[in-house]
Amino acid sequence: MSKAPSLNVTLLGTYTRLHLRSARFYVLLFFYLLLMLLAPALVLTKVAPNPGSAAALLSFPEGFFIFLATLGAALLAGDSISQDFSRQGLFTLSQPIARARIVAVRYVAAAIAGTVITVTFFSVGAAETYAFYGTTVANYAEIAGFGLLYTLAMIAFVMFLSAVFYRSQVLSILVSILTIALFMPIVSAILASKGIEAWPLITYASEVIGALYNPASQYPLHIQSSGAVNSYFPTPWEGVTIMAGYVVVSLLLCAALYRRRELREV
Amino acid sequence: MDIVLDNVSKRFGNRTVLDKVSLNIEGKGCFGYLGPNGAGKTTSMKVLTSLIRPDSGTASINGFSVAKEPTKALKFVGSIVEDPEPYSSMNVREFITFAARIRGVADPHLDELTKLLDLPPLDSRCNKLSKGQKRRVLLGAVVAQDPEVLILDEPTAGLDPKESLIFRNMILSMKKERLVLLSSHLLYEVTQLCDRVTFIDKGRIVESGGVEELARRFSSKSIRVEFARPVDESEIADIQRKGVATGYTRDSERTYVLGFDGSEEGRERLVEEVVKLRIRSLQDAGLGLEQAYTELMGGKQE
Repeated sequence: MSKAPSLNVTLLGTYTRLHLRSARFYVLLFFYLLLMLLAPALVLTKVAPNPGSAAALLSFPEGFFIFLATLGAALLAGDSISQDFSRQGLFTLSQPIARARIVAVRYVAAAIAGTVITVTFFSVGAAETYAFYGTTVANYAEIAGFGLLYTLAMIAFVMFLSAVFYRSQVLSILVSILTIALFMPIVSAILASKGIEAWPLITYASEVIGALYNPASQYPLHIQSSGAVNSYFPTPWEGVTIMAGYVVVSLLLCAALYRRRELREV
Repeated sequence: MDIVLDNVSKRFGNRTVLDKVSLNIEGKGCFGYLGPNGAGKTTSMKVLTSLIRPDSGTASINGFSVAKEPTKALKFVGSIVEDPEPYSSMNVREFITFAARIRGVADPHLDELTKLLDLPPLDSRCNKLSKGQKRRVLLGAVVAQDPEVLILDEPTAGLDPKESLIFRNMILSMKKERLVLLSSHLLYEVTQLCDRVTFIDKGRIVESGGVEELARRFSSKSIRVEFARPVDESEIADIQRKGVATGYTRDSERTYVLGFDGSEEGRERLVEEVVKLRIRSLQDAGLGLEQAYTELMGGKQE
């Protein structure tokens, strides 16, 4: 008689498969590839002139990456907890599975989907710069690594928001997008104007990616003084710490909130 | 196999939904849980399946506290509480296989289940199924999980007669080896399926016992009389006016059901009165569980 796969394998296999065949996954992959392939397509069709360097060719997709990664995380994980506070949750939450395990497995499944998209995006970027110039951006592996870490951190953070705004799947996705695309940059700007380092914000940490893209200039100093007010720029290690911190803290808070949630009415 | 609710209370805002509810169900068989809408049936079942936490008291299954050790307690339980939906992005095969595998069951015996439950085609996406089909898929998932304890909350509500029959046959088969806790509004269904029953109203348990015992107890408060001649209602009303009958209903011009206070003397006095009108036959009214429900719930019928 055959043996059933372990609970972790069953859950991870199922949730990952659902991600990888969802319409959201393919829509995201399409937009990531569109963003990365647009500049070379315009050059090849002679609509735009050849920008002359790998960094210049990639500057367009780089400029949109943070926004797209944010949107991607919101779509991949924005309803990862709120989906259970519907009639489907009556099945899921009455199963003998610890809620912390559900959070962990769903995070890994969304992270796998996010990794597939991000790695594809950066691989295509490397391929096109090699095809055009026989080389790529100097820090490309580092940039791709930070891009992936940012995606993983955003997925965790969005899962936490989904546990906060658990009553509506649409609301949890919308709030995720608004928090990261609107609220955080505003708070970041306010803190910057007051000379306070915005280290609690992941949008601050994401500035590392933009800085690494520009190999011609020096990496910005951590503290830059202009008159009485200091302005701050994250160091790469600070960026790693903030992003990794977002993964750990968001998932712990998400699991704690998820454990307390009740399914009173659906 | 046991299900225990020990002094469980739950409030939603200012409303007390469960008020020190205690239940102790052991062994195989089907246990009915009856009460009007809002009585606390679904809330009790949600407490037992870890969907909500009680404010006080404990719920346990096979000795494991649902609140403190939910994974251990729920390992024994298959449930359909309120109106769950199978995962919309899975097909029938995937959903039932997933449900089975999370309980360590490698093969859900899909062919057997398909025949038994008249499942929709296994490749159909769950979000394309009708309500009845979704219910059968969920029942298939529960059966595939092979649980010791089944908690079913009005499982046949909204189903057509054929689908209801499939559910009832499955419950009859499963109760032979398992403990089934079933809530239902359909008293004939409860009578047919359940061995024991508990009535709940306004969050409190009002009565518990064997189905037959309760039916007997409550039906013994009325007698059905067939008279030897057509009897005018005013003659029956006279008996009520004397305080001998507590009430009556007219089935036909010769047949009436008359209530009494439930005592042996009350019954004797009533029989003496109706005999004066010349009777053909007399028997305890067989309203059974329906009578019990009506009396316990203060006449509330759904």
